[in-house]
Amino acid sequence: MIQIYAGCDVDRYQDVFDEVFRFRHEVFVEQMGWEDIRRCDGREIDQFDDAFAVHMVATRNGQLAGYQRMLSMGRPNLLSEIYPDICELELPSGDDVWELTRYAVAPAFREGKRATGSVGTELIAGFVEWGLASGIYKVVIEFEPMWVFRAMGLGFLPRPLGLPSELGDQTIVPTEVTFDQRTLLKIRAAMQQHEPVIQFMGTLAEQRRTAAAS
Amino acid sequence: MVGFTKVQEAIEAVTQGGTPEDVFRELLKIVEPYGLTNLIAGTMPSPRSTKSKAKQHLWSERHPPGWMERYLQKGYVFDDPVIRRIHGELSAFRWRDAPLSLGIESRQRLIMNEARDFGLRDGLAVPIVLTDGSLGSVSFGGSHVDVPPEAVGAINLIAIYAMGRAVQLRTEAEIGARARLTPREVDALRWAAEGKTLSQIGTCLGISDRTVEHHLKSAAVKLGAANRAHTIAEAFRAGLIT
Repeated sequence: MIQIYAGCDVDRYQDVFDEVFRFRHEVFVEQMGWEDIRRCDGREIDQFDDAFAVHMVATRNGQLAGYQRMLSMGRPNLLSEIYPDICELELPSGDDVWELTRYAVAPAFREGKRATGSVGTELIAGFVEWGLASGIYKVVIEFEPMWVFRAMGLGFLPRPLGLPSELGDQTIVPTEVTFDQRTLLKIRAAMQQHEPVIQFMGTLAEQRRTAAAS
Repeated sequence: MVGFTKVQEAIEAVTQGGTPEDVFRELLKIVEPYGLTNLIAGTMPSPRSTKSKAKQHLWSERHPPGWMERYLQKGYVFDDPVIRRIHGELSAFRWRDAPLSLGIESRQRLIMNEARDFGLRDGLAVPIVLTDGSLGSVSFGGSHVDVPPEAVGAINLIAIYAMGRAVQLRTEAEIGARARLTPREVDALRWAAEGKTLSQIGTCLGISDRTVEHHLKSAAVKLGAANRAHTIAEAFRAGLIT
């Protein structure tokens, strides 16, 4: 299951986010060596964790299993603020395109270094479901080129926004992926799980209830 | 080719191919200026797989006559230093930079020398990680290879788009073949999946054992399966029975 939280609810779900920020530090700083974002309190929080960020938390039996963060391209985001040089094309700048960042699966739920394990695929299903429910059909991701192949296999239409660049010891290529209902069906077939995986929490759930009632 | 516009055009060209062969023919045109004149693309057999399986999902474009056959027949795929290095790699590398493995160096030198005799003096290998974690690659070869380092990333990316498209086309073709199972074949498979014998299935469907057997064999051929258990597994995977 993927719980989706609005950035404005971080304090309301303090226990969840204590764990999330520690998890991010563990994965991105301790394991992947992104020293630029190291923090002495062991909680990886940056300037993009504002009220407008959308946090997606994958859980298994109540345990944190994975995470990803969505940032609107209509607001400050990693590609526009941190890596402006890696794109050749003009960046999408509307609220209908979001950037996927900090994608991570907890070590206990990784199925081998290379495979996209079930939690990894569920996170992908999660942002697609969220997008389809929110009128968003395009997401920008800075990922290793091999993800292009996986994206195509899952029914996304990828489009590069620039050439592959070396960042630290990683090669990444900024890519816009377009998806629709068929993409979701393909992802579900790959997971062999056909039920929705997302659950809106807090403000997001309340907004949806209000919208449904009016 | 290194300019972004050129890369975009190249990606468009390879992803518009209507068959895997079209895709790789387009891909080869793009890299030819670098002396990369031949191509093999495929998904990687695990070291435990049989030779016949190793041939599965292999595409070659303009490969020197006789080389592929010899390569597969001799089982070179398991010792080829390029293939071995692909297992530890996420990005493209030159063939000549693939290290020899301890204990089989002489066999590996033989493979490289034979490739040279077939006109493949050097090349560029692009590793591909499949969604299930298994591996594939697009490997370009030629007699006068000259790839500037700044072009490697671009070729890597274009080759990934090409392979993505080729696998999409192959999957569509497979699903097409699966969809052609007859309702009777699906019925027979459904009962076989329940563990019923030929004669029990015959009774359920009101047909003879021989006819049941015929339906199951026909389904096996269409699904590319080796035996009944494999047919059932493939039918489950394709969503034909649940």
